[in-house]
Amino acid sequence: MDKLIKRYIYDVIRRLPEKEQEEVSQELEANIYDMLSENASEEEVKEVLYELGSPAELAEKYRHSPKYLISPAIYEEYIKVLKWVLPVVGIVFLGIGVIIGAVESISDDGMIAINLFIKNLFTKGISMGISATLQTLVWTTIGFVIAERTGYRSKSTGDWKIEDLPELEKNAKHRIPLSDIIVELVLTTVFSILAILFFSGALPFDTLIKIGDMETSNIFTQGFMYACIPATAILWLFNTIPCIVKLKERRWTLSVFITLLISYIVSITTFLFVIMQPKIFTSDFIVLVAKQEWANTGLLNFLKSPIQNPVTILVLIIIILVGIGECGMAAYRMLRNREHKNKF
Amino acid sequence: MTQQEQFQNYIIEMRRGSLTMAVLGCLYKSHYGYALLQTLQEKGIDIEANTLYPLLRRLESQGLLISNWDTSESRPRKYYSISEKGKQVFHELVLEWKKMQASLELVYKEI
Repeated sequence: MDKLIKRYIYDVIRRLPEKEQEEVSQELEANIYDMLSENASEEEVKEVLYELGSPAELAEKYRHSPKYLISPAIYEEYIKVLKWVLPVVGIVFLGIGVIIGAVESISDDGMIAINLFIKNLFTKGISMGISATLQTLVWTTIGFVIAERTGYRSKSTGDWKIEDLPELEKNAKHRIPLSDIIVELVLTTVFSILAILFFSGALPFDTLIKIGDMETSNIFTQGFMYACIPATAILWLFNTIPCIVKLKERRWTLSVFITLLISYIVSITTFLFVIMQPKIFTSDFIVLVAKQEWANTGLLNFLKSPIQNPVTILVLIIIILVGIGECGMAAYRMLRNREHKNKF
Repeated sequence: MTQQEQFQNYIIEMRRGSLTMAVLGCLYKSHYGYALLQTLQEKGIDIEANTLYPLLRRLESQGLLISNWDTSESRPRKYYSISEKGKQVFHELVLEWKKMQASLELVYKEI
């Protein structure tokens, strides 16, 4: 009879934190014996234990802290964060992996061994992408667990704002399609990687310009090429940020608009910085062009000093106009999105 | 879910909130677990042992109850009584409960 009670108590306390086991065990034992008459029969013991119910259920009632890793109160938020953080980290690290892979495949003579390059592209890129995604998953989960255990209250249970309410129409046409964002991210990353490789002279092939029987492999000056490397990196970064914000918001919101605006301002500034380089084209290339029949003074003047040339200014104006156009589109979509939201 | 089960759920929900109040109120006089269970049941409060015992521990950890082990008898027993903080909470709960009852009274009268 005693053994039955002890087994029951053990089954309860083994599910509890160690520091509570002793106390609960003593208390439960006292309570059980109080519920029994003097010299109780085994039948009576069983009756009392059945009255107390299943040990698992009783232990659940004794437990103060939740047993689940991510409680239902913050589960929604946890999934929401993972949904946009994981793809971003995956793609960014895929890009970084590809760059590292490309750099590692540069041989001593500054050329890229094509076989090694392709192999590295896959191994480095994919392995870094996957491992970064997995690490992010683990750390995000740990972060949420710690936050919840240390008293973080989710917005849905504590202070919340009307703005936090989820949208009614989930698949509305005002949502930014996921495929658009991913394609934009991938294209930007791939193009930037190729551009950086080109400017650092690490492409697996030589750019050879051949006009008639004359040829040159140096179109751009070394100074210009070096200036283009950080410029491309900056352009990549500032084109990625709006993508990440889009991925997070999935709507044309104010934050998407602001990041787009900043991105265009940075892009134009970067373009100006690149175009301000004292010499862009090599004298080899200029000589080559000058010898051609179709070369005129205007073109040669542009090649010699592109900075104050009307062609450059025209290109700059086009870039600014495109920027204004795209920002205007984003602003229009944002306003339409707000209008749409207010209808509900 | 049958209508009977649904009705039972409503009753359980209604009782849940009042249990803390009943336990705090009874513990102005010190009780050990099983004695408290009997006291509550005598007063017509339907509470089960597997709900009461964990509830006592929780209220103690929240500082609303104090406890001490009585080892003078053949078997040790843990006695619970209400703390100063518990008394404050109890008074506030009673006030709230009275307000709630008055409001429900008003609703009920209109029928």
